Amino acid sequence: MLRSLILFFLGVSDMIKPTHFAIHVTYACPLVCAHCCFSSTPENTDSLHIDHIIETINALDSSIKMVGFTGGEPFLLGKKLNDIVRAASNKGFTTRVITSAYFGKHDFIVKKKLMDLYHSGLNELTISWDEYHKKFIPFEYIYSVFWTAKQLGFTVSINMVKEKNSVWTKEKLGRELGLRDNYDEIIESNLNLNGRAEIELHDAIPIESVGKLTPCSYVLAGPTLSAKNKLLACCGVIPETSALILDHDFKSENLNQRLQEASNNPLLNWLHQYGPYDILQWISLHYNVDIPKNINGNCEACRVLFHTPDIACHIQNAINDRGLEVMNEVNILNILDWL
Amino acid sequence: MNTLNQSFQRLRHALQDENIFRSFQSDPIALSAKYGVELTPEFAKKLKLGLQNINTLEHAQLLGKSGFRMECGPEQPDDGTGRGGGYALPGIGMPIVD
Repeated sequence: MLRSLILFFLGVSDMIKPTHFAIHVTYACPLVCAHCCFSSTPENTDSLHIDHIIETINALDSSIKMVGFTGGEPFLLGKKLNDIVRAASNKGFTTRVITSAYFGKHDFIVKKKLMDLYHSGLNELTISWDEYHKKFIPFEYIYSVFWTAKQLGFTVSINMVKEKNSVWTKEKLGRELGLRDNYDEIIESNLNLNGRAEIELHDAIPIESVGKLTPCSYVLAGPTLSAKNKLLACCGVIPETSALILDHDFKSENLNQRLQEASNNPLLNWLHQYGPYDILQWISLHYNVDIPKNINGNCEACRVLFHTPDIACHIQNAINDRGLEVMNEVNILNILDWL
Repeated sequence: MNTLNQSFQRLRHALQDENIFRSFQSDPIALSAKYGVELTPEFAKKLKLGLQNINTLEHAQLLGKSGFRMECGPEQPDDGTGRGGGYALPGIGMPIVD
């Protein structure tokens, strides 16, 4: 309430606020997965300096509930990963690390790495594993990391990407892990053809075609600092998209100003409230432009929107025509606390 | 922008009055227009649906965003993820258990 009053007198709106903040600590990764949206490799040198990460954490607003460390492979930071988790934990944020569990061969190494993170204040561990990861990481590795993390009291989940012919499904993985009843800790989602997947998996058959997609709950609510030191409005699955970049050469002292500017951006609010497919449909209807029939997720819809020249050229006109309406709608929903 | 923000602040304040809230509930376009805020008929229709059986602004606020998303938000088709079309990120933002 106090914050709202202050912002009111400053003439600044206080709308969709970030609740999560992701830090892509590096785009280096021991694996070269076919579906990797960041096209990570062992040779990739994009990384953030440890001091810069800690300064960024210290600049985060109290509206943030969770800080997630991902990549690339964050465990490649070694002991520095413990330092940044501790910095976030000391500020009262819930902390999450996302890993491929590549270090899961020997139990004593798994225990040592996870114990160190436990003592640094880590709360959550997410393992990315599916048929694409399986080419590099045997099931036994994630079994070891999953159950060791559970024993330490971490909240643990496994993210799986699936296509129509995938052998490994949520149910199969749940059974192999020995989970009972339901498999809520396993999150399945459809293959999106972004990053390396666009080249290597263009023949893959998605789970099903989607006629209409939904709001993007990540844009504005979950900004990201990329390993290329760009501040992004969302998760950064399509990182080289200028409309989604809030700062091309990020400095921590500018964090809150950049996020405030983003919260007043009609395009980002449109994406958050209605999703990229809604913008595609609007452009199609008003400018008589064809849009693809098969789009397999919001990130793929964003790629089509921003990277198809015949569509992207209409975005500014769409904002001119519909931007104020969107901001009015977001403001009304903000009054009702329905954002 | 400041003028528009002030319009919304005045509207927010006014909606705390139960009578004004009822007017908003029955005709969001007309009530908002009194405060200088234009709404589209499509949005007003969704809003009216979402505001059914709600008595006060406080009641609406207690419902949280599920009030809008479930009652009058955009369609939520099954996209195969059960989670609204998002990519399985390398982690952040994705609730661990819905």
